[in-house]
Amino acid sequence: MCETCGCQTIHHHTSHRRVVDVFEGLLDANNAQAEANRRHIEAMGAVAINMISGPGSGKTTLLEKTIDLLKTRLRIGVIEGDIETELDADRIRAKGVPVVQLTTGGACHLDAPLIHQGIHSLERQLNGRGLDLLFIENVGNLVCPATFDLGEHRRVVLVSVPEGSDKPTKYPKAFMSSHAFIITKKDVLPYFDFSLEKAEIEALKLNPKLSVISLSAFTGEGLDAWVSYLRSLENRGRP
Amino acid sequence: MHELSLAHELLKKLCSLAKQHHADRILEVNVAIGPLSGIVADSFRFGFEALAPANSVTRGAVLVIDSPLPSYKCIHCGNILESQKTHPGCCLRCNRTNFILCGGDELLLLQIKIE
Ligand SMILES: Nc1nc2c(ncn2[C@@H]2O[C@H](COP(=O)(O)OP(=O)(O)OP(=O)(O)O)[C@@H](O)[C@H]2O)c(=O)[nH]1
Ligand SMILES: [Mg+2]
Ligand SMILES: [Zn+2]
Repeated sequence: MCETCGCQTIHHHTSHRRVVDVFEGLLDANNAQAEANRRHIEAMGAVAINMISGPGSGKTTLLEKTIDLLKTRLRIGVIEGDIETELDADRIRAKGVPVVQLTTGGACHLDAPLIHQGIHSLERQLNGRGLDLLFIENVGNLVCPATFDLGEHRRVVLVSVPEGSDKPTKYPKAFMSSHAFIITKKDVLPYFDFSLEKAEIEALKLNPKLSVISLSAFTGEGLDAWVSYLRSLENRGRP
Repeated sequence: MHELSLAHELLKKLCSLAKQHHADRILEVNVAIGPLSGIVADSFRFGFEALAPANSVTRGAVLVIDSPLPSYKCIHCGNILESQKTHPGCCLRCNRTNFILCGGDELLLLQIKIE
């Protein structure tokens, strides 16, 4: 028996030291589940949109308006991610669409295994009815959620006017990994030094493929562009 | 914060690798964490070192973090530039400003030393 570690070999401890090449992604487990989620969502006939922003940028408010505008034309479902509470899910439920609240219990982001659970709870609520658009409202945080693929087809990053037009430069990862950049709370532009032009230029530098839409959920300005963006995803079928 | 959950994932992975290779202990772990991966290397190390002692397989394992410099490819002329920044500015060859990222966002478990 090896004297150092007690294993069943007569060789000395150091003699069975060895190096193993692994070369695997640290996110491989998450990414494999995300891929499975994507296939699952497609099998339901839906397109999934992952909404990422700092706390309070207006994700839930925009969802409420979107549901009002599209509910009669498209079947919408929502997965809400929060650290605690059911508050956001209650707001969506009041709009009469199926919603699942995921609470991360402290974690700063949703991940693919959580979404997998969420999809199953949503399917129980749908009870065989189909779905066209699945919105996933991520935990309010502009940093951590950007690292985790959930199985979405489109990733949307939101910044509200009071947060400032330097956000793309300061939080590049969220912008590099998104498909659309939504500037919210456009109605308060007169009270802030937010530059729509600067925000757009900086975001496009990081990611030239971003669709940029500025809107206000309060006045309704720009919501038409947002709605046509969503309808283009639906019309194109699965991206 | 998400560094902690990733460190936890890595430790689980290490335990299953140890089992697979009939090893009792992980001595050293080599990972690559690019500056644009969205993961802060110091926080990741903090999480790893906080969680590793909880298991006899990973206790005392040394974490070695490699941080490759971001590199960008100019979409106009194909020139490759390295830059610490999230945007390299202008292409040194054709002066234009559209790039695709081709390195610096890696998150990889490269190699382990076991016994
Ligand atoms: N002026 C103005 N305020 C808005 C607009 N949209 C949302 N708000 C306000 O911004 C605050 C936050 O809105 P929410 O929709 O709850 O933001 P959220 O991104 O869902 O927040 P978290 O889920 O906590 O991250 C609320 O007080 C909203 O009334 C808008 O278009 N204009
Ligand atoms: Mg919300
Ligand atoms: Zn060039």
